[in-house]
Amino acid sequence: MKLENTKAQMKKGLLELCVLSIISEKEMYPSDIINQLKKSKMIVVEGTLYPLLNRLMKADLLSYSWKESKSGPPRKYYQITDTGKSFRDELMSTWEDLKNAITLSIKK
Amino acid sequence: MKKVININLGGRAFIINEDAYGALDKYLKSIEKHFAKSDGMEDILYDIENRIAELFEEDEKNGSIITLEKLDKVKAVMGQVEDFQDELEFEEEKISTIESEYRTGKRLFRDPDDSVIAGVASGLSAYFGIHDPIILRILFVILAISGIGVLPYIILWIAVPEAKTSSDRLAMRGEDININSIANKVEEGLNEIKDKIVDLSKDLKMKVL
Repeated sequence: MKLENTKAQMKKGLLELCVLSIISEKEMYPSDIINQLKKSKMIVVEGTLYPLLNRLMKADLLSYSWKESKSGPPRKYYQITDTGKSFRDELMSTWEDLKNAITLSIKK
Repeated sequence: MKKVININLGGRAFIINEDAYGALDKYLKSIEKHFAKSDGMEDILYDIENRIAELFEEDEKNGSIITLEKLDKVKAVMGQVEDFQDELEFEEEKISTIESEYRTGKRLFRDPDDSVIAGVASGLSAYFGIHDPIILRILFVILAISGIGVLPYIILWIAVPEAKTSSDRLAMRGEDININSIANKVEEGLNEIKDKIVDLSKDLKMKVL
């Protein structure tokens, strides 16, 4: 049993909630999402984000649109859909329940 | 002296050393291969290439040519392809490929385990899902008497292969071929042999007594 694996698994499950929450504030460019996630140490390597974004998009929780950029080619901005919003709310309440349950379980 | 290559990455132009170009190409190909099975491969690859281009751009203050060292820095930020694994997606894909790989169609065989002449009737019964082969046997007898003769039976005897292996027998009944079902078949066979041995030893005992 590797500690690093367990840690990564714990984070992975909650990453969806984080990404949906970050994007629900405003539409976002992947690099901005990355910066937020890195600041909160939710992801270690950036590569993990892109398959996740794609999966959320395929599930209709996210969509994207193209925007002109001052420097370089047009940028892809991700935004949350209505389905995504209710999905996020569900995850959020599950997280709250889980947080309480865990606090109770591991209290000494 | 080193040769450089001009590349277009994520819609931006870069100058890259030849060795770094080889390494970058390998890196991108490994990502492409990793996501080849998911239908969002192009989107994922686009996002990743775009991000790599951005990271190179940010690093341009350290010289405008992309070197192996610069590439290694970017690779450290992006992570190796093994780290890209999106667990949930992977699980879903794994399950669906397992299901599709082993589903086989029903095939027509002669059943040597349950035969009167050549197992044609029992094989056909298994194929069409008729519970008891006696119905087809009577039909063949009626055909033979009614003047059509035994030719249809003979033709089927010649044309339809005999179920020889466990997987043939499973395909005959249209059961899925996987380790479990083959193991079940083998077990059934072993039990039959065991029963026969028990019967045989009973017979012997009777004779001795």
